[in-house]
Amino acid sequence: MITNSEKERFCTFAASLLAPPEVAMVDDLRQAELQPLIELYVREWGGDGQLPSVWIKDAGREDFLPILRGEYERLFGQWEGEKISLVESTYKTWTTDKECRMVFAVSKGLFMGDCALHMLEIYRQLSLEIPEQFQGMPDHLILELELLALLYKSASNEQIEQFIGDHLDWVPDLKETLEKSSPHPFYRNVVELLCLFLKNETITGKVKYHGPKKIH
Amino acid sequence: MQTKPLKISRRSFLQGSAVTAGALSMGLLDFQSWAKESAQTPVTRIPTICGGCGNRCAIFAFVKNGRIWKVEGNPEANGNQGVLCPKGHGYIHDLYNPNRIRSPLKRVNGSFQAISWEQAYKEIAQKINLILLDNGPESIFWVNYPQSNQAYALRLMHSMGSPHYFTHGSTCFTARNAAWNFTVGKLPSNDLANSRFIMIVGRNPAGGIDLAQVKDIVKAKEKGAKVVVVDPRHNETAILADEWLPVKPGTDLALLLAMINVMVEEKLYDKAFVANNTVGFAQLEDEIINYPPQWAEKICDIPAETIIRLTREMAHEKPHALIHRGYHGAIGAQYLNSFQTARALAIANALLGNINRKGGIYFPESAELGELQPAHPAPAGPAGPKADGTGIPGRYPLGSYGDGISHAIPELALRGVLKCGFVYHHNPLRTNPNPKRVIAGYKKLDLLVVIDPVLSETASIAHYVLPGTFYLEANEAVDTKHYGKRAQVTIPQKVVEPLFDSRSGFQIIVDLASNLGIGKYFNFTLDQANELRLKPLGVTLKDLKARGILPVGQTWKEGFGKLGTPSGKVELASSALENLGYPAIPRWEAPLVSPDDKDPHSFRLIHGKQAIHTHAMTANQPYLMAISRRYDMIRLLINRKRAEKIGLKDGDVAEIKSLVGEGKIRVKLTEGLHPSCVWLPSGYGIFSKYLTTAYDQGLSYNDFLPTLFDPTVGHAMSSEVIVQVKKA
Repeated sequence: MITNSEKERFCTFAASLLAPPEVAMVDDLRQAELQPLIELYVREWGGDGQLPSVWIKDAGREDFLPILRGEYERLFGQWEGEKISLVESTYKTWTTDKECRMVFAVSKGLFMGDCALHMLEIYRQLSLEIPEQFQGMPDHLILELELLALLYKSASNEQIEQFIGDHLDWVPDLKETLEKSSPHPFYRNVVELLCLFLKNETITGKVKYHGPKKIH
Repeated sequence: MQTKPLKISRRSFLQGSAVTAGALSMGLLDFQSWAKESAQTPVTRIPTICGGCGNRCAIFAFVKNGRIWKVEGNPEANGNQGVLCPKGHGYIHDLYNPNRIRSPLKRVNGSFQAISWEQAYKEIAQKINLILLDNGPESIFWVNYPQSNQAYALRLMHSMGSPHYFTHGSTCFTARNAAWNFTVGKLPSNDLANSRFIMIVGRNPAGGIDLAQVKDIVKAKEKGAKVVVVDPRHNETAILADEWLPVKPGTDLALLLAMINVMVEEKLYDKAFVANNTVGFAQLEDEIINYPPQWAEKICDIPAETIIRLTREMAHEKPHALIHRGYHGAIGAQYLNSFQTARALAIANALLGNINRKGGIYFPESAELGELQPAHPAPAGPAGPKADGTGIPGRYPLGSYGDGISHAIPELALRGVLKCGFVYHHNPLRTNPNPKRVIAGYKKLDLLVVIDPVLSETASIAHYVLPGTFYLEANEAVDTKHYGKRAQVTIPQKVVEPLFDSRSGFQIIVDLASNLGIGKYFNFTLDQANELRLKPLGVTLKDLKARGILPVGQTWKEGFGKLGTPSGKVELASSALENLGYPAIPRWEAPLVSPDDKDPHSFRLIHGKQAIHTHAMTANQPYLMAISRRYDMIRLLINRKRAEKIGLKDGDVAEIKSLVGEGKIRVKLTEGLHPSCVWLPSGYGIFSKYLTTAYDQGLSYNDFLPTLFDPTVGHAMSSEVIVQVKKA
């Protein structure tokens, strides 16, 4: 059984892997304990144990960091390449408030949707500050994973499941979008791993997490 | 399971306590509960100004939970009378657009890198100071589309000793303004609502779009007024009109000269007004004899009997009759004869005796904002003239010095006269003629800084891009755009917090000044400056912020006073023009180019606005573009009979080619277009790959235009282009 403390570390680690690649991140990927640990997690979550092998092995390559940087920019960069969004709001209807009269009220693809406002309120109640680079994107996946990590520290399982069901239910959509862009195995596997983890965290609870769903 | 903890080197992004995460109530963590509760949050109403085009309509923005919730027109505003157009609604989409610029950008090896404001300002200031040291203060420029901070942009240029502040005027309206200035001393307005006969030449308020004018035309019609639209295209305003005159493009001057001829020959003009308030009628009589309706018919394709009939009908209603003061089309900046056409239009109005009369052409009350000095002394200003030649005899003596000739910037850059500059709230790469030349010119600059919320075509080639706030995110300078029967002062106000690390136009100007070492000319806050500028108007900033728009000054009164012309009267004949070597009285002047009558593929390319788009700034809005697609509006209009002669069917793809550009576009066959021309809607043809909704949709007329300068005013003559149209 994976402990909440380990899950907390896993979420923080996953968040770090989705940030723009740095030397320290590659160093983390090269730690000897990583591969067996992740393989163990994957088996525990009922996934294919081979999942992490490619990218962990590749992390040893000297050119891994520049390759990763190029791929991150290609996949998630704002101006060039695939421009894949890591922001929850863009995957969901902007607002569910029927009183809103803006023409884009029920559109997708915009920032600062309802989910972003909800995240802001959670941060406010927890006295958490959003760093400058995430201004306008309080529902960025990195921040949501970091918040989930915090929840594993002290929140109840019910609260955790609620949060995953409400705010990380779009990760399968991200996976689907990513797949269309022929991603580097590293990013494919990171997102697959994340999906596996999130699914496992909610499968037995009252909040269902079975992949893409059209809510909000 | 107990394993060795993962090593994670990176510090978490989220900072704060958070140790009490468990103390969060389920209610807060449950999105649905929170959404239900937050839906009860009250909505607040903030008055501000729309940024969807240059009209700057007054609006109420409604905000809920810190987000925009609804927008409405402010009923007190002269300019929009409580309504808001599709652009005003659609443009707001950009507020939450993920493709907005999130921080200052620096071009490094062809790609943009995000940098801090401090780095951007420091590097820009260093480069400017070096460039000015080598090339002199006149080597820097600023160009913007209309916005409320223009006084500060001008002050910034003057603080550096540069005369080079530009607006987009030379591609839009400078010929019109010059003609009215020479005729009655300033640009007037139209009392449409009280007019009994409205003739509109080369202006399309329902497409252009001017909400107050459309409402006023409807009011006039309800009271029985007759509306006549003169346009090669059966435009959106023609739908409201009683008669549409499909004038041959570029020949509106012939029509107007013939109408003046009829008024003079049949003595239909206002004799008392002419005798008391005009100069040069005898010269006009001598000249106008050359332009009978039968002559005009052969040139402008409007039957002589129609010209005579409508002139009589119009004169019958004088002085409550008017010919709209015009804008871009026909008289603004489109033809070699635009200045003379606008002169003829102004003179025809004067003959109706309608100058400053109810139901006629009137001089609107407009607010004169106060000065910042002496509290904040103004810089000495530039020593020399503008390099574009505006106001200089022998160059462009009738050009507007204040607006400059902005489409000359690329030429001046290519000649090495301009070395660096700022483009603010403007996109000349898409809105100026001959983009290849424009790109070459702007790329030649040693430093190009663009201030924009998105990566427009121009921003895409900049050395630095500074993310200006979206208009709903910033407090800006007070404004006097809403003139009318009573002047109004307005204020653009912050409605929501900036989404990203962006700054207001005012703040960027002040910050730039500080970094350039000329901060002493900007030692005031926005509120201090706004208060000083409101001081002579007798209103407080507090009241203005509360209402968004305030009436100031006296109410307009009918009557004729001394005009700002040399004679103080309406100058039917202008000695000022004569002294500059131009005809004192408008004479027929043919367009610069004309299609080849013997070539079935030869057409004049003209253009105009659709009611859902403003130049190039709204094309990327998904809802507006969806309307374009839903109604199949991205097409080249062509006269049905002409199209059939060259084998084009409705919906076919046509190839269109001029001396400088070519492209393919689907055609729409119509009876509502003069056969000598084809018509392209403006606002399309976006080529910035960062504007993904609009990218590569349709064509822009600018792609086909050569770089032209009218020899007197310097305007772009943007319909002086012949294209070949063939089935692709």
